[in-house]
Amino acid sequence: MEETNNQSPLVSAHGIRKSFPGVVALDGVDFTAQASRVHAVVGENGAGKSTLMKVLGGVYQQDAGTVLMDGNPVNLRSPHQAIVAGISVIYQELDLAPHLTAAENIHLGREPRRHGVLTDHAAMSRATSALFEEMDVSIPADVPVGQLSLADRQMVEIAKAISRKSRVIIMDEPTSSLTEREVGVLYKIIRRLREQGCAIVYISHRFKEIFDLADDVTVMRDGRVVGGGLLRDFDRAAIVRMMVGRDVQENSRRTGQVGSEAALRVQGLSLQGVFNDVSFDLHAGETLGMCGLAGCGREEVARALFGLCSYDRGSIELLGKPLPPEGPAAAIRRGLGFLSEDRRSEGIFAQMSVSANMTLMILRRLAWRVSGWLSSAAERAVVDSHTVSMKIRYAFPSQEVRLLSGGNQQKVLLARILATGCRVLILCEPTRGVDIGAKNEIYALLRELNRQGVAVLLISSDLPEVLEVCHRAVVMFQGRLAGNLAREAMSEEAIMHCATGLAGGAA
Amino acid sequence: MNESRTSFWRRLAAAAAWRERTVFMALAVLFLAVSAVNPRFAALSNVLSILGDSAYIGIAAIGMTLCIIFGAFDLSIGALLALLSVAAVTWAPVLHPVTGTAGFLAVIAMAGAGCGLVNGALVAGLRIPAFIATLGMMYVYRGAAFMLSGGQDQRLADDWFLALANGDLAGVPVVFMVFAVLVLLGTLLLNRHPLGRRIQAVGNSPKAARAAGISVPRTTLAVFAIVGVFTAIAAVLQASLLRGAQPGRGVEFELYVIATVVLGGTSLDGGKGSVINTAIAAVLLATLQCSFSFLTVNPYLQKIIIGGVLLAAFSMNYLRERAEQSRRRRAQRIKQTGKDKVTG
Repeated sequence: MEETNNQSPLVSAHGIRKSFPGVVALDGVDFTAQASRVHAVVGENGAGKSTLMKVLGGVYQQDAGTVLMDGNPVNLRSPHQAIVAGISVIYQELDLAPHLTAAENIHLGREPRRHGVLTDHAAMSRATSALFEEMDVSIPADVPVGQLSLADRQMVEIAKAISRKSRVIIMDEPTSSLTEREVGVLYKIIRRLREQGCAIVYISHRFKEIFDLADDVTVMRDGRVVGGGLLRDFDRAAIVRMMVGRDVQENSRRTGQVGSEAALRVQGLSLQGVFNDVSFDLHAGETLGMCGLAGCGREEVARALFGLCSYDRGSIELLGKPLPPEGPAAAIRRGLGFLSEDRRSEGIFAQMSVSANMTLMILRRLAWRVSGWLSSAAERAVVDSHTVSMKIRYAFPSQEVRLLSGGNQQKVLLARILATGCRVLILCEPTRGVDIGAKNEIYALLRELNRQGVAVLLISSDLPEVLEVCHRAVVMFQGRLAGNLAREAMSEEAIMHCATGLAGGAA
Repeated sequence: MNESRTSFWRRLAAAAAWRERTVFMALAVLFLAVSAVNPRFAALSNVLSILGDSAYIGIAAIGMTLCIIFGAFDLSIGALLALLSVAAVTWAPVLHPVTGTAGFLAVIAMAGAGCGLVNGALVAGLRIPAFIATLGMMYVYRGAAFMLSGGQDQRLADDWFLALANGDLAGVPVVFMVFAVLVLLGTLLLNRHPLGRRIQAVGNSPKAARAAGISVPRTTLAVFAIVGVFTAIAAVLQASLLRGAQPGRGVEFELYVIATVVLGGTSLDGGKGSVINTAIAAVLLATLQCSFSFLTVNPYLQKIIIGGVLLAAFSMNYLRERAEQSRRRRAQRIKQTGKDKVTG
């Protein structure tokens, strides 16, 4: 303890609050990072880690609270101001201009000048090469970064932060796209930065890295800091317990009849570098949860099943017949339904009416046989029956769907998919950004679908949700299935253990 | 509950109606203003002639409305108009004895659809942005029009062809009646036909459309083919009205048609628009042209005025969107602070 207290914090945040429409992302967060230390920040998806880092990086402005550098309040109203204050953030989605070279990216906005006007390219690439040499990486300074590997681009980002003389360097999941060897290089760079007096804030889901690198740890959950201190005072289990937090209550999972035949059978599904050898069965009348942390590959598996992205190896069997990789239309025809996690760009048609949104996938069924025109009566019947059965609230059927609440938009989407009469449903984060009332109605709907024999694959980051609605759960870690938990074995802790690569929990 | 529902209804209906009505209001104001200066402007014969004048631009604009809602442009239709009208006039004496009038029209419409499919194939198959693909085809069609005509103006002598666009029924120009029928058809196609729904869906979000099982390439082909058909109809009517075809005609036609669509309130970002509003915009532009001659406006000034009207319409779209956005943001903030108070 004494180590921490002796040193004054380099950067500290007090009482940070930040809310977005419908969500409180940060609820009075205190956070400090000290010079010459690596500070790990951990938490489940949506715990508020990235939001906090965006506040420190000047991307978001907090609703309340203050940020101090060396004990002096700083006003970070833009990323530029954060950089001037000495804080650099390296985001998961790298922030480089792909057509510019590494040298140009690193010096963007502060290019060395010749005669006051011309960019001094020679000086720029000399400085960049020197910087790379110092970091002990071999990256060409004069190649557009778009042509570099992801790992090299990450190094360019770090070089950018170093060249700006940043004293606080925040890394958000820096290793998610790196190979083992590259991780080693990153370790070395981080340790050197620490020796030079930088404060490194390190966000990661990987416990191994945290225990390899970090001196301090902060655990976040639901927009609050729930624990932390010197890392050596904690073990993995203690941190997982804090991340999950809630007392694991006796869950209310129902005991429905689950069919024995597989509605969806996935065998050895692989996509180079994304997911590997994924196999599972989904039975009729069952809801199977698919868990895992961001970047574990579960969304990609779901998209591959539906034909929205390709796979290299493996086979998919739907309702007893092989499902060829022919794209979404073919999958829909064979009885598969898919709800994207990205409602706004891959779900609703914002400027179309509620009824047009709902009937889009069954237009052929609503059209008159000969003339091909849509039958108003048939359309209204479909819309009315789903509106009633799913309790969808809107002003009138020709209302634009963008004017509905998130929960009602989600129900409209579910109605669209269910109208096709699909027997297997893949739902990605169906209750994200949905209010609690609609959430419960969606859960009830899932139960009803199960009762009718529909099989549901539920991809969700919301562990209580998985516990409440799923019969079983599979957990992914780094592109592989790391756990297959039967109903009795399912708990938030067990899922988190598998999701962080701690346990290969077989059922 | 009931009350909040009605007020919401009313608010929404008001917002929607205001948006829908802007073009119509502009038309009414212009018409009344010019009529006040010169009462002969409001004479029935003049009104009918304005409606007739709006037709062939308006017909091409129906196809373009669908194309812009789909999220694309077709810059080739001016050149395609020239090519198809030259083709219609040169082929008429050969084809008509064999096919009859209906068959002849069908052949020209098919030719238009075929050319549209070429545009669509470039966009959907070779992934060339619509803007570039149709810009390239603009030159191809223009060149083809000159080759087919040998660079000569084609005179039209066939009576049946001249009768297509020059007649009237109870005083109403036939071209306007054709226009009106096509507006109805276009509106139904957009709103009450599976294809129209798919066009709107892709215009809203190609990604979401794909996830809903819509074939984006196939829809692209269909959209450009439809544009081609409407261009073909406009070409035949124009050739009939002007008693001939010129390979150099229709320069800037595509821009004028796009301007009409924009004036009708269709968003250039795609996803939403109205065929009826496009039609009203076509009538508005024809009314503007007619008022120029009634008010003897300097022809150079006319162009400046048309440009000004377009800019005004466009800036109004922007200002309206901004007003709506800030209103929504304010409402959200109020809702948010209310919620915070309750929870916190």
